[in-house]
Amino acid sequence: MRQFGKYLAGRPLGMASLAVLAALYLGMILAEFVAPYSATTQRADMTYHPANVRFHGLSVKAQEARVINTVTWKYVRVKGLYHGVSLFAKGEPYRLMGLIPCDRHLFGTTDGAYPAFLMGADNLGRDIFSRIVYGSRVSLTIGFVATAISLFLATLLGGLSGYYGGATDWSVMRLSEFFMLIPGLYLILFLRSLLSAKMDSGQSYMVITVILSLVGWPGSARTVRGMVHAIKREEFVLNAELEGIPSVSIVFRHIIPQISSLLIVSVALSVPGFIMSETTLSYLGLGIVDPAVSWGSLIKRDISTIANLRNYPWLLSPVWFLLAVTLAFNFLGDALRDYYDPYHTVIPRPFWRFLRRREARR
Amino acid sequence: MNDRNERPANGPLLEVRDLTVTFSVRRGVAVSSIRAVRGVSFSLARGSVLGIVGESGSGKSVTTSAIPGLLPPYAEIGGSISFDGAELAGLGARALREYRGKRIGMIFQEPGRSNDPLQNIGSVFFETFRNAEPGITRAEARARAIALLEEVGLPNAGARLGNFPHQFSGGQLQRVGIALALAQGCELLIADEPTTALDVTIQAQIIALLKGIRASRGLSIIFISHNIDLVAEISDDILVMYGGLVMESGPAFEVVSSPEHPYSRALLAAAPRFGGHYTESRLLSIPGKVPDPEDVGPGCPFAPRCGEATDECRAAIPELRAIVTSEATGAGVSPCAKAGSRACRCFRHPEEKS
Amino acid sequence: MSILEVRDLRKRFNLEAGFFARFGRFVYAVNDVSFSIGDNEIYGLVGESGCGKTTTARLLVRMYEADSGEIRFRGTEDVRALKARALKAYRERVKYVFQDPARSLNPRMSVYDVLTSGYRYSSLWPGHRAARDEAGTILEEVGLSPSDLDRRPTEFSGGQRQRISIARGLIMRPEVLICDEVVSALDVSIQGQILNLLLDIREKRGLSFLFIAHDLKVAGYFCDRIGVMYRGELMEEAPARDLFKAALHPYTKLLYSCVAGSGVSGNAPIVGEVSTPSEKIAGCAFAARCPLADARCLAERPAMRDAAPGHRVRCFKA
Repeated sequence: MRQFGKYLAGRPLGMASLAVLAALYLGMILAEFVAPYSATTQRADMTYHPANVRFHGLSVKAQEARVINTVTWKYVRVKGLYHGVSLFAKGEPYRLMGLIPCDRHLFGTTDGAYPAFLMGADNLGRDIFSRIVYGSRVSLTIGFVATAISLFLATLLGGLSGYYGGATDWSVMRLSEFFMLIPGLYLILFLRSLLSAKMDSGQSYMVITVILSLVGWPGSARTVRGMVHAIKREEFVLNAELEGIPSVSIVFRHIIPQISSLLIVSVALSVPGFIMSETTLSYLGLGIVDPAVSWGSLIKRDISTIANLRNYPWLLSPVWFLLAVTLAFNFLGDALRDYYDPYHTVIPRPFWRFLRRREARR
Repeated sequence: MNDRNERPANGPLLEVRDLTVTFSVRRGVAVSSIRAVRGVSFSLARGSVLGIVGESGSGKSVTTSAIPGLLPPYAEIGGSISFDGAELAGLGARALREYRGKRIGMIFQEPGRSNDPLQNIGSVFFETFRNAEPGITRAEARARAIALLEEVGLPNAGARLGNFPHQFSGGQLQRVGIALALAQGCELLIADEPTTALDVTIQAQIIALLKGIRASRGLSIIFISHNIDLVAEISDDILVMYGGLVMESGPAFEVVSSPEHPYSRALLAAAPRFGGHYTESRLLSIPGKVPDPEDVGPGCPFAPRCGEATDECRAAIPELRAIVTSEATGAGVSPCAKAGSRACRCFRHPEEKS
Repeated sequence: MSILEVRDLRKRFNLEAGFFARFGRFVYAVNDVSFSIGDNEIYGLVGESGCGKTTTARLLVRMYEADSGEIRFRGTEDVRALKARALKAYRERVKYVFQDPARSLNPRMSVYDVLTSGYRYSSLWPGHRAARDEAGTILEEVGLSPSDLDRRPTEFSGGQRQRISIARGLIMRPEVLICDEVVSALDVSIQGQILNLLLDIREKRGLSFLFIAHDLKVAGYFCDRIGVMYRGELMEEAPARDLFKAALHPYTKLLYSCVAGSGVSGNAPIVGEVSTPSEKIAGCAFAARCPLADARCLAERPAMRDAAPGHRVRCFKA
């Protein structure tokens, strides 16, 4: 771990990605603290309120705005009506991590009279930034849970089929091919449609996770199987067989650890894939449903019409977060892959060195 | 020193002076230096065979890879490599191509891995010939290739030109490699452990072939191996390398029959000999392990394992000193292996005779 | 009394697999090999690549299954017929040490795990604490220290890794150690260390060895008796010293003459190379390259006969 940290110090992009991910996950854990308002607080008179936090002089303030057109919900800012924005402001009470009662939030208006919309409000007057923060709980974790299940299935089935070969191999591979044949999205839709249309948020979360894992495991399984098949012939495996170690133990305690680096990189690179899959599902309305929030459900179809996007572009703010997470995981995965690559220890020489020819020293 | 324009026909074909090779490798954020070669000097006369003996980490392969410029870009080369009067160290890639492959040929340890598996041998020859003479025709290339393959002892050459590398055995591939090196008129052949991966009977055949070519074409050869007996069989002079430095040098027969350096002695004593058996005497083994080029100490590289090491040996690296024999070549002989002279890098040997 | 007796062992491999296996092209790796290893004896099998010495060694521990023949350990039942539990017991008494320590030690395990991962499942497992002490003692015996138990094999040099490999073979207190070219991958200065270590271990534990080598000098120094194999057949067998002084088989003589520094000059120019033994040859396996071969050698396969006490040879001309 520490060695990897040292390696990252030489890769600024990887380091930045790690920082971004750390910030996002920390925000997710402390969601009640970071988000100034709850995800469900509606304000009838603030439909499509634009973002109103801005610099006024040297301090940060929230400016009030009034509706001038209730059809297009156009707002104008009220000159002079400011409310101070401060850190650790008092807000709605909550329990930090479900245990500690608290009422301070990361930021908010000092007097609490007018909301500070960092990223505007949606059609029911709910603060989008807060919804994004709460939505990260679903989006960021669903990737990991789905990856965990899918990787577990892939390692188990791929490992056994690669080691035993024969009928086991044949049947597992045919099964994986079956899952691979069906286009992922359609499989997801099909499985989802088999279940009832109305489910509560907890159930829908689990269902989506399971569906995503079922679609994701065949690819990794085939890779794992190939590697296990190759490693099986190594001398230390032959020796383990000679020593009478049971086959299952050989596969999972001797062979699989050899590909642990591959699996780690695979995790880093598939988490964003699962996040995007969940986003797609929720975008289509088949995933997380109200009142639960996820980044995908925030950019629901009915919100992102052309007219809406023209008038209220801040509704797409979740997209920036999704982009950040996907890029961060990808860069981190690249860094991990290069770290484990034994041929990657070459130092790239500074550019200016190439300009100077090497002279033979006499 | 030889001027660039002068081409002394009677001088040595290859003269290496104070060659150092250092690799900079990044481990995490730190950069570590691997000092693979720390100051090697030798000269090779035309038509003679120089043998380099050493174990893993001694720097023998890196030394010879530096001559035709086959080291990776992150290697830093110091010192001078003078081939037929021209300075090779520091030459750009294009200039090196005039030497590499054409006048300096190289064959490697694993012949199976030195060939493109997707290209048949005839096409490799054609490509090689065309590199030197762009206008050569296929028919002429084929004829010349067949002549070369017969010279290296590969039977049925015409038919085999269409074969791919996997259809040859290791020994045959090594012969093909030699033929390819000869194809462009090579004057210096560097053989880096060419027979280590081969069976002993095939090894004998390849050695006989190399001796034959050296006689018929006047080829100069640098032969590298960890097997000192094998090197002694084919070489005129020997360099014994350890820890990136030359420990002893001199005519092959002399070094093997009366070694001066403790390492050479230990090497010769540690190898089992025919007629010896454990019931009679135990093999002398050298304690410890070969030095790590990443972690060089201040003193003689062999000091940690040498039975005669003193504090002086551990503190500083001895100079390579010429050993004055009864046929001394006179004053002014520089302490590097000139053909025919002996040198040893040790504080304790040869003993100072007043 | 011989501890391991091998009779008429045969093994052929199918070069094709799966669907094409029925059109098999075979490699006759081991052909009617018979020899015996005495108690506390070091028996060497030498030959060039493809001669079948490694295959023979692997047949003895049933890494491959022989097609026919007998293997008897201490005169008891045929090893080939042993079932699961008896086979496991046999494999605890006959251990196999691989050539390349870089590949035969699991790079992700600590030395302690490497030594004990098989021990754990054996009938002699004394529990973790006692096993740790035993592992420490064995490491000392092979020249390392108990503090190395928690390090990884990659932190050691080639010679040290081979010591770990040997220690792993010794931890179950076997009676026979099969060493497959254990010094071939090591530097010359380290070879002697390992050979001397093996000799010490043998004295201390009364082991018997089957020592596979391609280097005649090493085999000549280390072994009591040597068997020379060529193309899957045992061509000559003699005490090590006799073999050097009085080799009878033309192939053995060829081997000796080719080895550098043997002092034996080559007689006839050597022609040809060993080809993969993919056809069943009617006559002597070496006849195609033998300078002394005649029609009978090509047509009829010579039987193994006693040329001198303890010296067997398979040749019409010797």
